[in-house]
Amino acid sequence: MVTAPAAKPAVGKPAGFPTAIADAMVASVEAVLGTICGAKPVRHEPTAAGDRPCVIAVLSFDGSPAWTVSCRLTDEAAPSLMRKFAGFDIPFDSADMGDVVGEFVNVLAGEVIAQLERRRMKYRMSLPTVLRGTGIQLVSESGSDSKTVDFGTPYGRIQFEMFIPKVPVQTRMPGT
Amino acid sequence: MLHKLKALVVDDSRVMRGMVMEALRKSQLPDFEFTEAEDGADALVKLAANPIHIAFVDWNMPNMTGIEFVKAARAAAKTAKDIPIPMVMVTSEKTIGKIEEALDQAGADGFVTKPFTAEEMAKRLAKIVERAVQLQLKKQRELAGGASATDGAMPRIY
Repeated sequence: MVTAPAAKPAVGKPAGFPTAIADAMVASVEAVLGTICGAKPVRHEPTAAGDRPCVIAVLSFDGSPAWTVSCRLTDEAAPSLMRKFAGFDIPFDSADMGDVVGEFVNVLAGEVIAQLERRRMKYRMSLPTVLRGTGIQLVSESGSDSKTVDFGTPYGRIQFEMFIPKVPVQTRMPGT
Repeated sequence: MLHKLKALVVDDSRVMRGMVMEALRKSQLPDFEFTEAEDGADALVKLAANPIHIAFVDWNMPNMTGIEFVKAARAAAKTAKDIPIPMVMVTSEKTIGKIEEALDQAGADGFVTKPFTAEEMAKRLAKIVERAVQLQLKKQRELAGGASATDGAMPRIY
């Protein structure tokens, strides 16, 4: 008697990062960077993080679905772009650089929430968390939905990774 | 003689406080003397300890949000029977719901969204700052034993 081999368990493929959120994020980046830089940023194919020192700001959106975004700037781009944003020089290695990148992501998050509300999706933003170092990678869990977008500006490149974690990322909410 | 307008700048970001103060300096509004606070709780302490004529308040901060600060400051002014100072939200929040929450529910007098320029600050804040100047003059006259100015309605500016 021939028995059929056991069926392999079905592997759930990620549904894909929600288009509405990705579109809102792209529109927000274009709006905010357009205001700051005086020109619409240019989309690029996402590139690997590489070994350059970088600063990364992480911020989460509380809603349905809950999602998180990281914003990465290298040591070349961060001082240039943040000088344009803040209006004064900020050394890459300074505490103020972490402060200003967190503020930049906060400003972006406000635009994202407004864009999502136009798409009838209600969210609250967390406070940003900022990291600085070399070779930092935010590893989203296997199978989680994610999308990475890269932009070029006259002041350097900036990368955003959006993901829906299976377990909510622990971030601090305002007022706590 | 009009002294510098005493402004409280509330934001958990030192850099953003600097950006707000620089934009106000460049805006050609009256001269300011600044007191800084890093969250709503710190702002309440500074407000109680210093003569303040106007406050510029971020929304999303740790410990106590800007909206919680505005509500607490309004409640304290009401209890003390003080004329409330003008309070302007300076924030990345920009939805209609948040604007209504700030202006209609919490009692803020104005709303400036980030990012902002000195020109936008000047345009949005001119009437509110003028009101703060009138309040400052009133307090100066009261201290000097003079007559008090009449209080007009606070213009709401968005």
